Amino acid sequence: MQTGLRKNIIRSIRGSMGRFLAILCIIALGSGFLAGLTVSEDAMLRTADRYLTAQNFYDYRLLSTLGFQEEQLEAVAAIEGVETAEGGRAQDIICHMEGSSSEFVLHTMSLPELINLPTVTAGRLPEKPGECLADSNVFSEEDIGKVICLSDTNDPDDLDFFTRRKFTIVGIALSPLYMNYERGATSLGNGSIRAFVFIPAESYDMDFYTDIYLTLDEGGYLYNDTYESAADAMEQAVTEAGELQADKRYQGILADAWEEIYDAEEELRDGEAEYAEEKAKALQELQDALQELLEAEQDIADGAQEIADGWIELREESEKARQELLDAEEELKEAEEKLRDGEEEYEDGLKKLQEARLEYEDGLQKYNEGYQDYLDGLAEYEDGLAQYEEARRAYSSGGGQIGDAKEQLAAAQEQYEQLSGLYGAVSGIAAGMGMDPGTFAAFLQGQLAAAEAGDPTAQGTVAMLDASLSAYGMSAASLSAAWQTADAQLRAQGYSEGLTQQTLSRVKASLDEGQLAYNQGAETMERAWWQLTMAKEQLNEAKDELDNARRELEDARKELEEGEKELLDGERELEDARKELDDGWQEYTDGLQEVADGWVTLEQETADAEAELRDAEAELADGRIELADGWVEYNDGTAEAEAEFADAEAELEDARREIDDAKEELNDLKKPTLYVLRRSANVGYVCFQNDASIVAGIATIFPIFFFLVAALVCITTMTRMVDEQRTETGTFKALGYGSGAIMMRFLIYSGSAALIGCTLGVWLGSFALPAVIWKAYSSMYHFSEKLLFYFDIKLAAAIVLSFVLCTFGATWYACSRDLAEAPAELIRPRAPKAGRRTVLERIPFFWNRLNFFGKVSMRNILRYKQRLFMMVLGIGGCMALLITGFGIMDSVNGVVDYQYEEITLYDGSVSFREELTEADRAEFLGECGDVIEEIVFQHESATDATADGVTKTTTLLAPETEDYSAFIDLHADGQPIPLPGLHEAVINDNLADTLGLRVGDSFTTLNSDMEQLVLKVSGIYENHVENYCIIRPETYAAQLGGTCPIQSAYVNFREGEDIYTGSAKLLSNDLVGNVSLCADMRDRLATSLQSMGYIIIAVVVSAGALAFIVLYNLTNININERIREIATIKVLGFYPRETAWYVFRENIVLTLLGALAGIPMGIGLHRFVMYNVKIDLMRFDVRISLMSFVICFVLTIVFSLLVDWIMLPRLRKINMAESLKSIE
Amino acid sequence: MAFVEFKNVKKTYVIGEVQIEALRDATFTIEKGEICVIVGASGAGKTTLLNILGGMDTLTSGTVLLDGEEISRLNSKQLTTYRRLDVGFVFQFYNLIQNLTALENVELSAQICQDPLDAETVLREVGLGERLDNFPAQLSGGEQQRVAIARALAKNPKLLLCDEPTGALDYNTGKAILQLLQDTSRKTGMTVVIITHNSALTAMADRVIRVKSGMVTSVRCNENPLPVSEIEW
Repeated sequence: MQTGLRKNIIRSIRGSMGRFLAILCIIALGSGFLAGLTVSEDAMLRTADRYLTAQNFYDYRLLSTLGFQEEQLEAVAAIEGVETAEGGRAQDIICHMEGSSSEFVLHTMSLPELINLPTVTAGRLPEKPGECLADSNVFSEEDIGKVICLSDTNDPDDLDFFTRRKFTIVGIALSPLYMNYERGATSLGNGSIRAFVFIPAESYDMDFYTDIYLTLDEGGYLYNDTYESAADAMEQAVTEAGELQADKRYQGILADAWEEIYDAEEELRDGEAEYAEEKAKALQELQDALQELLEAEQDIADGAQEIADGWIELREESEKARQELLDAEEELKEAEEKLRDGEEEYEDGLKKLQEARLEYEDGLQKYNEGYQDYLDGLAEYEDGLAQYEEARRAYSSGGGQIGDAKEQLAAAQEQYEQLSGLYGAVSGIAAGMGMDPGTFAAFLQGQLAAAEAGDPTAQGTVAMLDASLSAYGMSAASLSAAWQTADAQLRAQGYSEGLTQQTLSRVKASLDEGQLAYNQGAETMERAWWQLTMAKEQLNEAKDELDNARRELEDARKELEEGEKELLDGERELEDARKELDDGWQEYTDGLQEVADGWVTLEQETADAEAELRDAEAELADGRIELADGWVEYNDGTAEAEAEFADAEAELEDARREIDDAKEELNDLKKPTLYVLRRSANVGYVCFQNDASIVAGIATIFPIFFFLVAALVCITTMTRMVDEQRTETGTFKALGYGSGAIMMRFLIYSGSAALIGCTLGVWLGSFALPAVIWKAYSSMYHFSEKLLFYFDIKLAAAIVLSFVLCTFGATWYACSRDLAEAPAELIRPRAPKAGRRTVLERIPFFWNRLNFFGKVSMRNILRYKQRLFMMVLGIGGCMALLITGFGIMDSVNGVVDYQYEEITLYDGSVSFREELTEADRAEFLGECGDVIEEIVFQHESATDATADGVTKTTTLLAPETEDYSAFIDLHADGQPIPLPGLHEAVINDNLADTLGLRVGDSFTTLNSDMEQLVLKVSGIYENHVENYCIIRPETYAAQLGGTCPIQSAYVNFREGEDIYTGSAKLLSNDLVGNVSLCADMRDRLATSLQSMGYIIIAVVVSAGALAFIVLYNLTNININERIREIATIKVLGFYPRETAWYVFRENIVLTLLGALAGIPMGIGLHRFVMYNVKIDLMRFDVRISLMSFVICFVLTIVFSLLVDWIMLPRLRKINMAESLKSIE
Repeated sequence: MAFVEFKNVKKTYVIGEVQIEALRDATFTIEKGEICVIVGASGAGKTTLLNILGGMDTLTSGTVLLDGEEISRLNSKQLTTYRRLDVGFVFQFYNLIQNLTALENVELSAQICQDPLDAETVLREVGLGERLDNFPAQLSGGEQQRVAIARALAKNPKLLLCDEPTGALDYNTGKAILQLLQDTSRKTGMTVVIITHNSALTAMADRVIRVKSGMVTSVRCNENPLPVSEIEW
């Protein structure tokens, strides 16, 4: 391809990404739905096939009324074409959980090893008898370890099939035999099986297999024709072999039975012989017994004597012991008295001691005080002594002074006397000489000195003087010297005049003075001496006193020390006394205890001995009674033996008769019936097929819808694109490009969008949709969590191809028109599509009412028919899908509410353990009447209703009432349906539809006991959950003979009574086996229907996506086509809001139209879907509430407005200058 | 005071990194009731001028006044109102709404005005009294342009803006349209601005503004404008 062209294509994709993506998305959506829904059935079937293959699901099942044995199993396994054969045992049994009285029926099966293998989801496989693997539908991991008990209410024959009565749950499992939730019916209990359990084969006490499962060599994909024909081919062989083996089994049983009879006859003979022997033995035994009795009587007499002796001994000994104890008590009393005395003494001692201590402390105190006084005295004394010493020292020194003074005085006296002598002498001489002494002295001196110097006068004088003086013993020289000395001496002593008379009198005066002073001092000294002597005396007295005190204190101290010692001794003594007392008390208490013990022991021992004696007496009495009994027994024995002999004889007779009967019975034994069942007899297997085909049914209409919308979107978009590029096309053509090359541009554009979108859609859809659907079905099928995804490559290729071709077709159609034109015309813009008067304008009534813009919109809407069609289809589709989604919800929700609010009105259903008698009813009402408001007793059983070869499992109800309306409101279309008459039945609408019955038609019912009723339909009532056939008990009795067994009741609890406490009260009644509450069933149902929610979400989401893509695409085209017009409008001065309205008014009108058109489409689609998803036992109300319509309508409008809102910026961006441009 | 006044109007477009000056210092005035022809070669800036005067575009700098109102200061909403009430547009390619009849096209614009003229009367005045209910596709080019003029007139605008009104028409039809515009102006005193590249039309104008390379090169008043019938080109 030319580069230019290629670039052009790439640019055109990039330039219009929105449009490209829109095509891509709508194609992805369409192809995704188509692929996803188409492969869903396959994915489901493949998942189931994988599961059933893995679990080795059976191909044939053989059932015989007589069962099979090992050899028959081997023979069947040997049939050519049979791959594996396995025998299984199964038995329905009524059970209850340990610790609960609520009963239910379990279907027990032997744990298979080859065929129909269970899948353990929790826990493990049972390994030993007494363990079981339980149904995951009812039991969960939490139940592992719980114990299932076989109820005593079972038929003992049924219980005998088991070696155990209790089974511990060790694992939870799924079984391929029960793919869905249904567990089937039974003749036991309330008629329905609650769950299955697998138990090890050893848990059965059955010597036969109840059924044989076969797998064929020629297996195949489930449900398909190849498989069916392969299975068909084997049917004859299997049936023939089965019948042959069943017959063999019959023969075997016959042979065994005959053998048994022969054995019995043999046994009878043995019995007769034994009887004879036993009789002889018995007689001997009686004889022995008599002997024994006699001996026993002697023994009793001996015993009585022994007891009497015992009594006497006991009395004596107990008396002795009592006396001893009394003595001991006396002793104790004395001891106590002594102790008390001691105690008193001790108290006294203690008191005294305390007093002594007090005294001692006083003494100590006093001593301390005295000692202190003493110390004080001593200190005082010492002070006195010191003073004294000092005084003494002062006195001594005073004495010295006095002495000195005396001496001085004496000296001074002497001096004076010398002086006065001298002076006298001198004065005498002097006087003699007529001179005064003084002058004499000086004269003398001079004389002397001159004498010395040799003056002879002088010497003569001196010598005369000497001579005069010699009378006095003196010489002139010595006299002068003495004078001089005395003079000097006096002058030195202060007498300045020297030796004169005056001076001498002054000396004499001072000498007298000194004498006076000395006398005074001597007096003073004498006084002091006296004082000192006094003081010394006092001190000596004090000293004596102190010494006395000291001595006294020492004595006191000694005394105190002795006192303290005494005190300590006293205390020690008291302590000893205390200890002694305490020991005494202890001893006393011990003694008391001993005595008390002694009493107890005495009493005990006495009592024991008495008891022993009494026992012995009692024994003896017993012995007597026994003996009496023995006598009676003996007598009875004798009588019994005789009776037994008679019985034995009768028994032997019976045995003989029984053998005869058995022989007769064997002759009558019927040949066994053989059932050869295929997979189609398995409910789960068949239901799954139905459900898978429901999905396939939905798969047809939804995708076609999406495919159509996708194709239309493609066509409009491509047409628009080709139109837009008209000039370009012309240019290319004018440039000489061939039509093929030009068309290639568009083909590649649309083709690539289709290819990418489709691939994406198919791939996503193939995984997402089956997953959603599987999730929705998971409430019913638990066998595989994971869906086996399946990508159908052929389908994918076909879808991709068809979409690509579709877009190619659309493109080619759009292009071919343009390409046919001459290039010259192409280059010129195509004249805008002419405005035309529309049909609506012919209706002035309508047209004139439109405002201006309304008219424009109307014309626009009608101008582009293709777009109108697209829009209505797209929006309508969206609306239809929403209505379907909400409608499913309404229908499903409605069912539960409607069923339990308007049809099923009773609160609970009671199953009784057995058929009720009148007495039972009275008893039940008597015990439980206080919680019950209303009750109806009825017959209830599971039965197969058949009409025209179609069979359906139904619950047969035969209420004993004329007014059933409080329990089940029988009505149809708001009209009540009366209860049936004799041989008539009222059935529910679903059953009627399935069996093709109308009022007046007849049908039959067959219960598990093969009892058949023929009934005429008298009314068909509305019911949504399960199938019911209501008859009168009289009909049952009339057709089957006897009375109608009543073993069930519907009850309404009293107002205000809690249904759970009410139900517990009912369950506590012995007659009641089980109570199921409507509220519980309602919850269970509502929960399981929630899975529908997923489908609804998927529908709403896809509807939204569809609406969005269609609207976006169309609005986009609309705007692109009218850019010029919008620009002009803007230039004319329209406000943005007005502009938006101008454009979007059309969208809104078209959305409204589309939504309206979608209503019938939705109703149809909803009906279709509901018809396809009709679940077995449930009938949905095909209805859509008004509210849902409103919600869907609003949602659709909201989707549309959302798109408009998203497109608003596009409008805003349109440039007004566009209006000035020429038309392109 | 002048009815329309451009003062130093400048318009610069920025395209990528390139600045293009579409108008440089455009200054001129137009009096009320005048027929003004703005003439220039392609790319001279006529259309930019028209866009600005018509309130379809904003300017970079300068002032534009119409009847005393400063258009250059209006915001986008006010501009819309301005276009709605004060300006009547006549496009080269008529730009009629294809889905509306002639009458409805006129009513479309009349409906959003405050004081519109009667649509039918206006159409009769432009000579389309017989073709009221025809769709654009059923009308000739000249008739379509008359509808466009009627649509503009019906708004009773202050200003009639005509962008190459004869550009898509043949000579005679073009003349007839111009005649209509001239008559309208003379009769009603409407101010008419005609933008064209055809210099011949200047003869009929009261005022001629020449534009070249984004500049107003001359503003000339015609003392004696010729009637359209006397113009030849």
